[in-house]
Amino acid sequence: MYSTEIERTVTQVVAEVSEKKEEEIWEKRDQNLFKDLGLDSLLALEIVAMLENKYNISVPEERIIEIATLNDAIHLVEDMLAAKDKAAV
Amino acid sequence: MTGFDEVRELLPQRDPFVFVDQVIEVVEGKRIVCLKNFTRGDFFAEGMGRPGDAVAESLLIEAMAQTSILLFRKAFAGAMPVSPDSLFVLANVDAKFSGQAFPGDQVTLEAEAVKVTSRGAIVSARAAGERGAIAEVQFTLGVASRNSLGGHRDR
Repeated sequence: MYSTEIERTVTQVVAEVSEKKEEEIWEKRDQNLFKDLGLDSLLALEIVAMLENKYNISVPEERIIEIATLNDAIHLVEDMLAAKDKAAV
Repeated sequence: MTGFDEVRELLPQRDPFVFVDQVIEVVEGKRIVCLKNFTRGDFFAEGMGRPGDAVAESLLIEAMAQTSILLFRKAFAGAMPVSPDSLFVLANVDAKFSGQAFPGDQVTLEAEAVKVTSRGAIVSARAAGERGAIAEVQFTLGVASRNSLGGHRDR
C-alpha cells in the first residue's frame, strides 16, 4: 500500500487526528482534506505539530496553507526533510 | 512576578471564575509557570460534599486553559500577531489525569507552546501539586477577533 515510510507515517497521523480509518485516508490521498474529509484548520495545525515532533522539523506558517490533500502533506514533509539534510551537509 | 490583579486584567474570565493566582516564571516565546492556591473558601468548595473531596478535574482543566491564555499574553507579547483584544477559542482538549488536588493545596500550572500560528496554537500544559503530578493536557486553541464573534468587552 505504501511505498515509503513517510507516506505511512503521515497517513497514520492524519487518520489519528481526523479519527478516520487509515485505509480511507490513504484511498482519498488526492482528495481535499477539508472539503472531502471534513478537517478544519485547527485539525491541520494538530497534524503539522505531530509531524514536526515525529520528524524534528519546523514547518513555517506560510507553508501550512500548502496542505490541501494527504499527498500535499507527504510532499511537504519530504521537502522539509530534504532541506534539513541539505543544511546539515 | 505577576500578581492576582494583573492576572485578572490579562484574562477574559471574571471573578470568581479565575483559577490562576499568580505568574511566577515566564520564558519569552516558550513557557509560563503559574500558581493556584485552592482553599476551602473557594466558591466551588461549597458544592463539595465531604471533607477530603478532590477539586473537580474540569476546574483543573480550566486552570490550565487560563494558564495557556496567560502564556500568550505574557510570553508572546509583541511577538505573536495577536492583538490584546483577540480571543482564544478552545477547540480540542486531550487530558490525562494521574493525581488529584484538594482544598488547601497549592497547584503549580505550567504551559508550553508546541506550535503557534496567527490563527491558532497548540499548547502542552501540566498541573502538579505537593503530592506530585496531577494532569497533563494538550489544548488546541483557535484565535479569533472579538468583532468576528460579535462580542464586546465590559471593561
